[in-house]
Amino acid sequence: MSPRSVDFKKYVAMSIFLATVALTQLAIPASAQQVPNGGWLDEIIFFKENDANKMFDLIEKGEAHEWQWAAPVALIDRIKASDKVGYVSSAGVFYTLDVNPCTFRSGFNPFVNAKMREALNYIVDREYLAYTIMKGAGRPKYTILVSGFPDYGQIIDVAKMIESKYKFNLDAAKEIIYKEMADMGAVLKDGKWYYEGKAVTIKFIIRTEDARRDFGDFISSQLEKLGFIVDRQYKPASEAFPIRYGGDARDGLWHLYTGGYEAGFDQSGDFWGFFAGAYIEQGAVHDPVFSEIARRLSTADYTSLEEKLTLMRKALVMSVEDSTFVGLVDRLSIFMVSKDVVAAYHLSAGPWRMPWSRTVRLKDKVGGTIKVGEQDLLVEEMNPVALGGWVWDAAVYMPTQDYGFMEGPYTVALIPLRVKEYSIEVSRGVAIKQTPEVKKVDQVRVPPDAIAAWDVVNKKYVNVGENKYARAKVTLVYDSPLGKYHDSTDITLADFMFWFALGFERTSSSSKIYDESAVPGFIATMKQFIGFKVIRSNPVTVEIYVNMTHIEPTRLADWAAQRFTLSGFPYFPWHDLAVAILARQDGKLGFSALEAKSLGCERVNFMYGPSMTILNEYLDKAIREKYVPEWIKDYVTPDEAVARYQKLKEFYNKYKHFWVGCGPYYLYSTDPVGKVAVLKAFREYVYKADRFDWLLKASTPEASLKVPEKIVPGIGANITVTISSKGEPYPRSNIEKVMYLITDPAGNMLLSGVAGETTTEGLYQIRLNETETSKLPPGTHTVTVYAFSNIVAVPGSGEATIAVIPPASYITLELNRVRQEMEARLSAMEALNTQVSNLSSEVNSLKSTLNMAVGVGVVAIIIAIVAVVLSIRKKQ
Amino acid sequence: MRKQDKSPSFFSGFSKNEFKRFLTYFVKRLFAVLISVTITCYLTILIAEMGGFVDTVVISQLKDEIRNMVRTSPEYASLSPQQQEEIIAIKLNLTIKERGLDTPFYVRSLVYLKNALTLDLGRANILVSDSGSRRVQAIIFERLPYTILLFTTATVLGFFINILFGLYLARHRGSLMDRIMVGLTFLSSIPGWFYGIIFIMIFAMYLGVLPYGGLVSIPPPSDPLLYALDILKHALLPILSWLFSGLWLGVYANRNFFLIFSTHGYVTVADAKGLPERRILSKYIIKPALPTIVTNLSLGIIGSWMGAMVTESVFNWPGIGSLTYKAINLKDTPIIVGTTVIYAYLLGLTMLILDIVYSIIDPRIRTGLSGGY
Repeated sequence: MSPRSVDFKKYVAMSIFLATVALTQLAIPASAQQVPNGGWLDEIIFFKENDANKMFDLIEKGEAHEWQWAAPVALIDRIKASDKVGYVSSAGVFYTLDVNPCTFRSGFNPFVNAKMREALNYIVDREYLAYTIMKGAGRPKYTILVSGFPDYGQIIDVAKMIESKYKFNLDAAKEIIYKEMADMGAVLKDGKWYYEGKAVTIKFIIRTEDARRDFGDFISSQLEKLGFIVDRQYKPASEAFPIRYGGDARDGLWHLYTGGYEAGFDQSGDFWGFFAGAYIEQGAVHDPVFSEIARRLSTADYTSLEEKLTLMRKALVMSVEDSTFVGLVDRLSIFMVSKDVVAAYHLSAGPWRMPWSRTVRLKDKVGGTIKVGEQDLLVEEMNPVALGGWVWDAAVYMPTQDYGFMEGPYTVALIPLRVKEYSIEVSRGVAIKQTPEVKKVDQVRVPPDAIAAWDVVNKKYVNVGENKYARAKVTLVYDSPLGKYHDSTDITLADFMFWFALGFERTSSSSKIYDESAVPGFIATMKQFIGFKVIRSNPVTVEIYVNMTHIEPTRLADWAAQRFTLSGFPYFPWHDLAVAILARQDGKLGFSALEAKSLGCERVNFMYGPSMTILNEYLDKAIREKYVPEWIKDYVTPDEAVARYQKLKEFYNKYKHFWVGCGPYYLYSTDPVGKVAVLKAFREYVYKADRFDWLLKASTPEASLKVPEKIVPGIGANITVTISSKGEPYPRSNIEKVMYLITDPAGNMLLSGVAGETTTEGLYQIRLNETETSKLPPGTHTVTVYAFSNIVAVPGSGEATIAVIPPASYITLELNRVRQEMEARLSAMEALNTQVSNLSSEVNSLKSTLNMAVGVGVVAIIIAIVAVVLSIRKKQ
Repeated sequence: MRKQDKSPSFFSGFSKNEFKRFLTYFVKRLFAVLISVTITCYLTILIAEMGGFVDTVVISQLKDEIRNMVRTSPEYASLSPQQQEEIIAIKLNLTIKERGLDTPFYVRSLVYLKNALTLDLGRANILVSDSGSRRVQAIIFERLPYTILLFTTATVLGFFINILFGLYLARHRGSLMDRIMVGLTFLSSIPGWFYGIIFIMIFAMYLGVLPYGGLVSIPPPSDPLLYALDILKHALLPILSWLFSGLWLGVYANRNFFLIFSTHGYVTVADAKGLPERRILSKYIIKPALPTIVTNLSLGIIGSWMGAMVTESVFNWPGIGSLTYKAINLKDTPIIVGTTVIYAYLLGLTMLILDIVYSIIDPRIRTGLSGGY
């Protein structure tokens, strides 16, 4: 065999081997392939596209994967019918009917009367607005709480009661309005209301940019049916805003306005903001009891979660009675997503939160590229000191960052991201949810050597001093190792310490980098900060002392972490920002827009633009001068600083930008004119890509009920509840509670309570005792069950109908039943009797036969005996 | 040879008196243009700011935005309502200062005017250039090349197509082609952006041979030559839509225009004399029409630099049109004033240049200057 043929055979064998390995890799499901560090994807490309129809086509063809903007209502049917294009929805924006509650300086305002405002709830057909006008891209809204949000879920019993009570009912509205208008002195003449001789005209500012135009028309029509003249003023935002927000409500320029607002997850403060505190400078009067409850909620003046919920229940009812804002629709934003993409989407912000970038991937695949369309891109300068608020810019930088905690997509509670563990000590009397991390103590004493501030003039840290106490102490332990930044420099304690003092430098007029615009926010938030103390540098462990409190422990921990360092974790390296500080000191660049304007220079932009050459120039200066900011001189030597600057230089030379983060993706390139930004996976990231995959599995519980045929007042009853998810029992450990409500056909609540656990996973029992069932009036009622999960804020629900019958009817029924049973038994017995009779006859006949047989037998025997005797006598 | 016959070749045909008259006229025109530009700029400022009403609109928008931000931000959740109101008030004042709204409108308007006339266009209030600068000049001039690439190319191409085709039809009046083109003139009533949507459906959606829009592919090529070719590929559909829309009416208008000249007696005589077609066209038809042709081309080019808001939106093209649209929506007055100033200056300059060009190419105009042409 020639050497060549041997080589050829080897080559063939190697090729077959390699091909087999390759094919095997293809065949292995994504989950079985090695999980990479960094993100699941190799690349995410953001591009600008503001046409929804184009994006739909691109996603259908597989040329794009997601559009991070709400799809228009008109496209929804096409999306739902598509095989390739899916969608996720998120709430967070809601529409209201704003009602002016102020007495006008001239003119009549019927809505000064709270009953009139409350009556407006009956003239709005919210189901029509949400399901017909908005084609399902909205949910009916009866209260200020966004349905599906955690606050709504917590007091869903009261929310549902309100929804039942205030259903669309023009007759109910008419009754109230007619009475109240008459009481106020108005007169109804020829179907129109007159006050002091003038026709009552309602000035209604109707926004025109969206579905609110149709909302306004509908409401106007209802008001006209009730005798009002409605002056429909159709206006875009630019014309409406000066009237609605710019002027004095007492000027009488508007009665009603179709408002649109954004909701945060914590809406407890909205009772003050939207109702009790609304227009009080302009003389509006609200119920004092309601005002006090709203004030307590907005200032967290309660001692436990239960107390908070009790206050919220009352506030919710009273807010509808106040109705300075009447709920119309909770808008659902529909985001188009390719069915090949999976990710965790936030309940209210959709893709615009960190969990998206931590979980996004192509189905059953490791790696790959996705293309994401944004309404706009690279709009504002990007610097971590004064980041802009554009969501599409956040979409680009968020995957490159890591924080101490990140927002969970489904709950109020935050999820530790770079913080490994945390603990909280609070003084007794502070309202906070009791979790294993929380401990209540008599006093929280602040160590005297804790750092309280940075003295800009003397360039030193200021200690807290003796005899200082705080309401809470938060201890944070960060993960170790801390890992690297995208320019391959290590994350160190110096990076943590850098940001605290920077805040003081920027807000002190003695500083070379003073920025007037940074002052108000800094002062307001630092009012509740006492001090911090670094306990250990590896792992980084810090105690933070604050007077701020929050019912949710993770929120408190996060707030404290952010007072200590940037976003709770220094996602941007100190040496990168130090270069910008040098430029700022020379007035070449400004951090904020106001600062740049007053200096007459450009604003710092670490991603692209004229900042690049300036920053590069100052980077060289930093290397030459071995620059270390004063406030971290104890943590970094000049030589260490230079080494970091050199790494930054290499990074800049390679990527032509200065945006250095520490997240699972790094910024590869931007095209600000073409509006494209490319991120690539950072494979030196400390965590694996599947770290938060459990978020994809979190689901809302599903509830189903098995009810008895009938329930009798005074007799106990059991209802079986099954809680599951996708056919499997929902783990008991993930269920906080299963609540039930029993309501009558009119929606009035009859009973409520908590279902009890059983020994079987996913199975619960509602045990109604005699006292409870005796509260149920006869008739059909609805049992609704809400299952609260501790991993998903939206409760799952199920309902069934029960029949409650009166005792007399029950007895009658029972008697009937018994009689029927008896009759049945009697019939059976009669049948038995007949059978017995038949048997008797049979037996009797048998007896006769037997007797006869016996008789015959006896005769035969006698004859036999006689025959024998005769035969013997004859022989003799 | 008379002395006046020895004038320099550039001003051939100009007598001394004619030159003096021309100069006087030119200076008067320059002065008139400057006054027009000043009035135009100030009117633009007044209209863009609605006489100061925009301040009220912007401030009330800011109030709403800042209030919403403070209300929903976890950072301020722990503050009391009163503290939140204080923060809102402070942030509002700072933002008003940042936008320059703390200066009274009439003072600001004069500052804008001064900046406009000195071509120091200042800083934008809100918008940032694609490269990250706030200077209005940078913002506008960054977009200008893309607008020129698209609309000026389409304008120039369209111009020459219309001229040539119109000329041809004028000389072949009544032919089948003439009748077809005249019959299809109505197609120009449909705007270019509408054709753009149709072309996108055909070429991008169904055939998939051209991109939907934008400036470059996603991701863009890193090689500069490929990047440039990629831009040209993306410019194809918008140029086509613009051309297609303007073609029918443009050809028809030029056809009628040249018909007027074609029916003059001297053209008939030239035809009768059997002069070559080319000579008739160049000497007897085009040359007398030259001032009008040059004017149309000049004004067309200047007009094309303003872009087209809707077409640029349809194709996601980063031109002056979309910039102006954004600036109007955001009420970023320096940008609106900046684009108007540039256009006003260009227009004025073009008119002045045209006056010079006319006097060179058309002796009737030179002679008629004393009559105040």
